[in-house]
Amino acid sequence: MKLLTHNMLTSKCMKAVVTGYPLTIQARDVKVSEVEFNQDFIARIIPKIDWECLCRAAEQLGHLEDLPKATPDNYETDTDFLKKAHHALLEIEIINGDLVCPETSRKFPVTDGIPNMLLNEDEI
Amino acid sequence: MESKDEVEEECGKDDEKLSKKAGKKTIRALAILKKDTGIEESKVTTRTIFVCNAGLVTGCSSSDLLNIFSKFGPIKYIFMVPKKSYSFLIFTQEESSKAAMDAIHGKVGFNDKGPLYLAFVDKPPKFTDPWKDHCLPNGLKIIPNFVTTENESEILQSFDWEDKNQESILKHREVKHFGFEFSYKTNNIDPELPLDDKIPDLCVAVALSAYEAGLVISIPDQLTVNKYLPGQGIPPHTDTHDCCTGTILSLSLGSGVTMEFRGPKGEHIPVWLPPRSLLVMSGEARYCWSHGITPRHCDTVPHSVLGIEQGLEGLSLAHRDTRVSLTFRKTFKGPCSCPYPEFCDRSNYCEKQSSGLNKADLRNKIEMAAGLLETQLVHQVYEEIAGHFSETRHKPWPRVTEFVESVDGGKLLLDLGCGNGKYLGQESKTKWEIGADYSQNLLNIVVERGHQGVRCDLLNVPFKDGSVGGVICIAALHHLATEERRVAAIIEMWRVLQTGGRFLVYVWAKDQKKQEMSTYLKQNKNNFKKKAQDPAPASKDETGEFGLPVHVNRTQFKHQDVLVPWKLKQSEEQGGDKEFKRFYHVFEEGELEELVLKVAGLEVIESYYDQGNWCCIARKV
Repeated sequence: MKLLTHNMLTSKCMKAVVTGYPLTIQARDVKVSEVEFNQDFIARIIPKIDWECLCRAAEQLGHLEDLPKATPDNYETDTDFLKKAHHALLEIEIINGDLVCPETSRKFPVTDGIPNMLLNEDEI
Repeated sequence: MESKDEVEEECGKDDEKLSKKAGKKTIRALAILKKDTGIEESKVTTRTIFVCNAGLVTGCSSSDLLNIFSKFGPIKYIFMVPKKSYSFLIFTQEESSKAAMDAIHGKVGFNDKGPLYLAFVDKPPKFTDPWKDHCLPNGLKIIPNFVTTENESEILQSFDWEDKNQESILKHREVKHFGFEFSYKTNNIDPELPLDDKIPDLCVAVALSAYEAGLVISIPDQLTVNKYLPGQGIPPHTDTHDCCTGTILSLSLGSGVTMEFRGPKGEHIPVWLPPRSLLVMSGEARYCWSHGITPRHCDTVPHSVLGIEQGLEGLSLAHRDTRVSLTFRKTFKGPCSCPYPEFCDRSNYCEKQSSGLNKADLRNKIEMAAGLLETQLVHQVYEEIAGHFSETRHKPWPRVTEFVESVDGGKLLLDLGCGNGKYLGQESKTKWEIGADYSQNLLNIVVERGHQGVRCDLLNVPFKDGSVGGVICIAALHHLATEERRVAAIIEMWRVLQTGGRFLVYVWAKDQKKQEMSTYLKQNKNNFKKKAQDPAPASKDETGEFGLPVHVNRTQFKHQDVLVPWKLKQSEEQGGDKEFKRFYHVFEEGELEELVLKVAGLEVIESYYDQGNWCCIARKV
């Protein structure tokens, strides 16, 4: 699972959970692989991203590197920034580990890159 | 006359006049007790005291008795006998009961009602407690302490009952409507006529927390507030079937009350609604049972429900105070689709529904077991057939691809029930696509192909509100077993979409010959031989799990809720060919659009028929 996907995930479907966001990552296996950079795509996806959540996720995986704390004003044309965003969003992958609900500490296992977000009957 | 003398002697002779009166009263009460239960007075001191003239009928509660008797020593039980003017106390020690007898009998009373008369008995009678061992009607839930006492007083103070108008004062109670009016003339809500009075924010918060707790599948938009003074009630009734959706919520504030539920087989179940509790009525309790409040000043309830006198058996009285109830409903448009046609007050539609197979029974079974049914007849099956299923799914359908391509680049596309992910990553990489499915084995294929896969079901989509630009849900929604669940899935699609975002849903059509013969039917060679006839063979219907009819593959569907066999081809080593049955709800013409329109905040852009599927594109407004 890439961090772009993680950026959208919540545990809010659980009963008694209000926002369930962002999910804390406890990773066992992390894979970094090269993905072709598409500047236009990254520029268009930036407004959809919760940047703080992305930074925290990258940090939890030990890949914060030099990712800026905030998006610059003119990010559309800031190729250097977009490349860093591209790297964090698309090139870092969680293969095995857990996603942890920030409100209930319920763990959602990630196995072979697939987060299992299924809930038990008594959790909904 | 003999026994009278004995009693007088027992009582001592310090106040002869009083004893005489006490004796008379006691004798009369003992005679009644003997007639009622066969129990006689004990000639010796026992731990059990018969209280002759204080009971549920005389307005005595167990706390009244505790107040008087507890000073003599620990009390083991208090038995308040239903519909009687007497009661029983059991002390842990004999000295206590002796002391109580000496001090109270004929001398001390309570509430200016004159003195109590007592007698020793060996043991209290056995009585049938109407509350004992009963379970709540199916579909009924009581959530205690749903709001805090602070919330309760805030909400109570927010209603202005001084501003009385003619409509708000009913014969037996006062009422206010918010959002939409519940008309007592038609017993219905007109969803086209919203009121100027919106639901107050404090009450919206209650509705939202019920929604967030998953108690309702859509946020209620109508609120009826009833104010009941002690002695007031509401006649037994069932809310009109099509006045609102399948779940009704009622919050009790102020006083608790006993609500009487009466079932279709003559069942009568009194249910105690504690203050600040939320009553959730759905399914049978909503559609098939009546509920009402008997007009009286107090309720007879088991000690246990009052929660204040732990360890006491039997019943006590709960005095009513002013009670304000908040009833939340979600308005509903269109014909009633309740699964209980035999109970439906909108019978025209439901009669149509109940023709043929005993659909009422079947719907009932499905409703009750929806989750289990989907686990066994959908999820487990896909897990088993994933590999074979994936081999048969590679050619994308042009109109689905067209929709996927129409979602703007730079937006997230979510494929709910993505199967092997055949719609993912088809065009240039300018869109972020995520496949979601229940089946781990299918997701493994998705991820192996280099796509993003998330495991979830259609009812709990783990994405942020408003986070995606487009959703496709191709041939998945028809695997949900009830209409409520199908609506809930559409609500989830609505929730995760950003405003202006669109979804495309494909479901199997019951009618497979709407345009020309669908690909599905074409695969049956027999369908070409006798074109004029219904291709379904005349063989007897087979019935499978949950009493569902088994569909004959490559024929027209005869029923809406069916089991569709899947023949898994396997080598001998793998155990040979196997047959699995999957649950489908196949859709009638117009049904999908109707379903989508049940969700407020969606507009249908296009509905069409494509290769044996009903399809709908809708936009979040």
